[in-house]
Amino acid sequence: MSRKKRAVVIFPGRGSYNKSELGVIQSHYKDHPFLNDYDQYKVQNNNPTITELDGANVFQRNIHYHGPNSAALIHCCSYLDYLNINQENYEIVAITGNSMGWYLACHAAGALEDQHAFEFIETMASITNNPIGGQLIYPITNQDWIVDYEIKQLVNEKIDDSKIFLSIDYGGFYILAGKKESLNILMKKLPARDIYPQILPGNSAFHTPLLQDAAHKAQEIISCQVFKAPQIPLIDGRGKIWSPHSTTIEEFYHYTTFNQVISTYYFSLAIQKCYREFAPDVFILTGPGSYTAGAVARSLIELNDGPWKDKKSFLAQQKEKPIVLSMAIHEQRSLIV
Amino acid sequence: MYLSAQEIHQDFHNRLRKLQLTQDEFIDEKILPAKDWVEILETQISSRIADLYSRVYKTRDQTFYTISSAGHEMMSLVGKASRYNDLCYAHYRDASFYLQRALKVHECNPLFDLIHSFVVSKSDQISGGRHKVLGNAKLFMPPQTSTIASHLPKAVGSALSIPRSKDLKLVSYLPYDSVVTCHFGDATLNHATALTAINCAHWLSYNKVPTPIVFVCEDNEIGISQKTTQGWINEQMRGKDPHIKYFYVDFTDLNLAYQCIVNAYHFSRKNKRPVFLHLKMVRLYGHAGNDREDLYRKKSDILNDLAKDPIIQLSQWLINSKAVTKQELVSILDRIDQQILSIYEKAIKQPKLQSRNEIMASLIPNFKKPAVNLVKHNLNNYQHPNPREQYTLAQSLNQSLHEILGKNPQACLIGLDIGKKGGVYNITSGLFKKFGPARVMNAPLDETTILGTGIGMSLNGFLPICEIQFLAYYHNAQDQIRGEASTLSFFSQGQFQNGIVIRIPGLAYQEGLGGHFHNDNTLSVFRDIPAVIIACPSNAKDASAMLKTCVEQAKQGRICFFIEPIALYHKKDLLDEKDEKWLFEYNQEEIQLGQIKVYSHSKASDQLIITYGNGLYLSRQAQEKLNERGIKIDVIDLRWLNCYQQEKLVEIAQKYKKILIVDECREKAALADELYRVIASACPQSTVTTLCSADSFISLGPSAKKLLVSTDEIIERISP
Repeated sequence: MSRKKRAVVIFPGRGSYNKSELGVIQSHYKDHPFLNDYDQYKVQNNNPTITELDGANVFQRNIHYHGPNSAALIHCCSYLDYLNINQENYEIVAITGNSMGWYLACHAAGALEDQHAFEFIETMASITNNPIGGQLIYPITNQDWIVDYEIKQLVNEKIDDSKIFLSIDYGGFYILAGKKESLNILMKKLPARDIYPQILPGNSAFHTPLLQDAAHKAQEIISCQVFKAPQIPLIDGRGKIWSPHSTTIEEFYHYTTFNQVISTYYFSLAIQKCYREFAPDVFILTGPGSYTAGAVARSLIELNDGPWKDKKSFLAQQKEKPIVLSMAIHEQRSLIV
Repeated sequence: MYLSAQEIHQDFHNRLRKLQLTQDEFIDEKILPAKDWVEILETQISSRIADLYSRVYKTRDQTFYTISSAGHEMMSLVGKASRYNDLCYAHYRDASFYLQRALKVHECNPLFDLIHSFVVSKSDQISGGRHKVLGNAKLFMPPQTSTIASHLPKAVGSALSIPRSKDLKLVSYLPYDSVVTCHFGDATLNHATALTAINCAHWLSYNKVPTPIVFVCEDNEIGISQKTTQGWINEQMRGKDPHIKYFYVDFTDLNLAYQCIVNAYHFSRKNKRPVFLHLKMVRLYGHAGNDREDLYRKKSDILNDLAKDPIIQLSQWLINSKAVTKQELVSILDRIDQQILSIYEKAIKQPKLQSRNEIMASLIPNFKKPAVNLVKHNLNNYQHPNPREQYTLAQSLNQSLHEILGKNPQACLIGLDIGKKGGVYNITSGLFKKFGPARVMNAPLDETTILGTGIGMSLNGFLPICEIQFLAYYHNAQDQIRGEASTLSFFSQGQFQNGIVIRIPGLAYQEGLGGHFHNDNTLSVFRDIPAVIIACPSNAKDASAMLKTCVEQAKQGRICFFIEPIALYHKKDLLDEKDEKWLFEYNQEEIQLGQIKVYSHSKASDQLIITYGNGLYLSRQAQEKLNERGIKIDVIDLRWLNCYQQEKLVEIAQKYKKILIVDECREKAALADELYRVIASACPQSTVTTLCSADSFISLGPSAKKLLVSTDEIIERISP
C-alpha cells in the first residue's frame, strides 16, 4: 500500500464566493448534516440560510456580499469541502488560511466547535460589515509571476508614509489598506499595471490598526472559553505554527481576536512556512472559487527552492504532478474527494 | 553495544513509547507554564530526530555531517530563556537551542534550515551549501563551526561593543539591552582561545568595564574520547566569581533549572557583567556518527549516560505532571518523525553547489544584502593639514588615523600602548587625547584579545582598526582571522560582516631595534587566507591614502592587513643625509584597491624591478645610483600584495627585456615565487629573476644585514 500523501489544507478569504459560485453548495452538499446545522443556526438568528443564499436564482450583491452572509457561504462551502477530503489518500499535516480563512482554518483544525465557529465567524463579519477604510489590490510580480523588486520597493515606500498599511501579503499581490481618502491618493500614485491598482469594493481596512476598535469589540463579545487547542498544526498569518499539544489558549485567542485583526496578514509567508516546515506533497485549496491557487503558486515560486522558477514552469509542473489542488476545479476535485 | 543508525533511531522511539506515569510531580507554572514545557519537548524531539535521520542518510551518502546534539537538548531551555536578538555564537551541538530560538521569529523555517545544512543543499539559508553551520541573520546567530573556542574572544568583543555603542550614541546592530551568549563544550575550555576570552572578560569586569556576556559551558564531561576530570570546570571558574558570576545547572529539578538559566541572563543583562553558565549534559551516541565509543568507553558508562537522556527525563516529568499523556507523547513523536523524514526526502533532492565559481561567490561579502546596518554618519570632525607640509611615513599614518577617526564615529583603535603613549612608534600619538578611551583602547597584553575584540565589535557595526605591535606577535593570534573573521562571509553568504583593518608594523631593516621578533620578514601567514586584503605602503604619500582605502573596504566587510615597514617609519632621506627625498606631502585621496605604481626615469629603459615595502626603497636607491651611471631602469611598487592589478602588471612587464623581482622576505616564504610564476609565464621573451632575503631568522645586531636584500645586490644584479 502506498503511503498517504501529505496535504496542507488552505482556506480562502473574503471575496471567494461570487456570482459564478452560486449554487455550488447545493450541487455538492445538498442535505448534508453540517449544512442543515448551519441553516438552523441562521434561522435561529433570523438571518437568511445558506441554502436560501446559495440556492437563489440570482446573485444579489447587496445580499450575497453582505458581510455575515458572504462569510457564512464561504465558511460553509470550504468546511464541507474539507470534510469531503478523502483521508484514506491524504494525511492532513497542517492547515492554514488567508485572512478570514484563518477563522475557517481554526474551525477545521478543531480549535472551534461547529456552533462556536458559526457564532464567531458571524460576529467577526458583523463587526466589520460597515466598512472602516478600505483595501486595494496591486501586483508585485511580473507577468512570469516573479517578484519585481523595484515595484515592491516602490510600494513599500508608500506603506512607510503611515497612512497606508500592508493589509495582506497575498502571493504576488499586495493588498493595501487605509482610510478612503488615503487610498484614493494612492490609486493615483501607483503606476498602472494591467487592471491594477483596483479597489476591493465593500472591504474594510482589514489587518490594520484602523480596526483596533473592532478588535476590542470582538474581545468583548467573544470569550476565550470557546477556543480549544487545534488538533492539527495551524499556521497563522505571521507564519507561527500552533501545535496541538503546546498551544496556549489565551495566546491563541488573543492572536485570533486581536493581533491578526490589526496587523498585516502574511499569507505568502504562511504558505512558504507550510511548504518548508511540513514538506507536503500537495496543497489542497478548499472552495468556493479557485482564485487563491494563483497566490499559492506565486508564494511557492518566490521561495526559489522548488521545481518551479516562474509561471510557465509552475503550470507545466501542475500538469505533470500538481502541487496545488483546488476543490473548486472539477478535475482537481476528483483527485481529492 | 554497537548500534547502527537505524537501531539507534528505533531505540529512541522504543524508550519514549515505554514511558508510563510513575509518580506525581508538578510544574511550577509561575516559572514556566506546562504548555511551554511541551513546546520545549517538541523542540527537543525535533532536534533528536533530525540528528538521528542525519545518521541514517549518512549511510547512503546523502548527508555529510553527523556530530549531533543528542544529549545536549536541554539547550532548548537556554533558547527559551534568552532573547532572539541576544547575539549568539553557538556550539555545534546546539540544534535544539536553534530550533527553540527560531520559534521567536516566525519567518524562520528552523527544521528546513537544519536539515538543509545537513545535506549541504544550496537552499541552506545561511551557508548556501558550504558547510553545516548553525547560523541565521534573523536570529542574530553568525554561522559557527568552531570546535576550538575561537569564537569566544570575538564574543567578548561583541559584548563590549553593546554598552559602548550606547555610550557613543551609535546606531548599532545589537540592541542596547541585549547580551551576548556564547556556547562551547567542557573540553574546549582548555583551549588557549577560551582562556584568553575568559581572561579578557575577567579583566574587563575587574576594571568595571560593562561587558554583558553569558559564557555557556555545555559540560558533557568528555572531549572526543577523553574524560574531563571531575570538577575541572568548577575548579577553573569558581575563583573568578564575582567578576565572572558563576551559575551551575544540573537539570535534576527542571523548574529550578529553568529559573536558574533565566536568572543568569537577567543578571548579565541588568548588571552588564559576564556570567559563566555551567550546564551539566550528556553526550549520546559518541562524538559523531563514525565514532565507535564502545571502543574506548565502558559499557556501563555509555548506558549510564543513556539513562540520563534529557528527552526521556523531560518526557517522564511531563507525563508525571499530567502536562501530556502517554498517548499524546507518542502522537507528538510520530508526527515530528514523519514531518522530519518528509523534509529530508525533499532536501536530499535539492541541488548542491556545482562549480568553483558558485562555491567561491561568497568569499567576499555581498554588500547588497547586509544583515548588519553600519552606522550612519555625517560627522566631519577633521581638517586636512597644510598640503605643503612634508611627512614621514609614520607622521602620515598618524595624520591619516586622525582623519579616519574624525570622519567615522564608529571607527575605534584597539592595541597595546596605543593610548597615552601613542604606540611604540608614535603612530597613534595624540589620538587618545582627541578621541578618548572609548575609541582609542589599550588592550590587555594579548594579541588574540586584540583581534577577537576587534572582529566582535565589527559585527556590531564598529569599524575597528587593530594594532599588532610587531609582525611576529601576530602569529599567536592568527586563528582569529584565519578561522573566524575571514570565513564569516563565506559561511554566511555575506549576510554577516566583520570588516576590520589590522595595522601591523613589521618587516626587517630596523636599525635601532634588532632581532627576529622585531624584524620578522615573512608575510605567508596573511597570503594564504582567501579574500583578505594585504596592503604594504612604502612611503608617506601612499601610506595615508592606502590606509583610507582599507578603511573603506572594511566598511564593506573586508578584512584588511596593513603591513607597515618599520624601517621606513621615520626615514627622510633616499640617497644622502638630509636630501629629504623620502618625505612626502599628505595624500588627501584614497588609492584604488590593487593599483600599482610605476617609477620611471625614461621610456628608454628595458629593465624593470618589481617590488614593494623596503624593497621599493632599496630599488629606488638603486635606480638613482644606476641613473647616475647612465643605466635606466624602471621600478614598480605593488602596494597591494595579494590583490595587485595583475593584468596591468603583466602588460607593463611585457615591454621589458630583463625583469628583477626584489622581495625583502625570506626566500622560501616570499611573494617572489608567485610573481615569478605570473611574470615568467606571461613574458616568455624576458629574462626574469628573483632576489630575496636569506631563508633564516633575523639575527641581532649588524649581522642581520648579511641576511637581507641590499641596494648593492640589486645594482649588482642589474649591472654586473
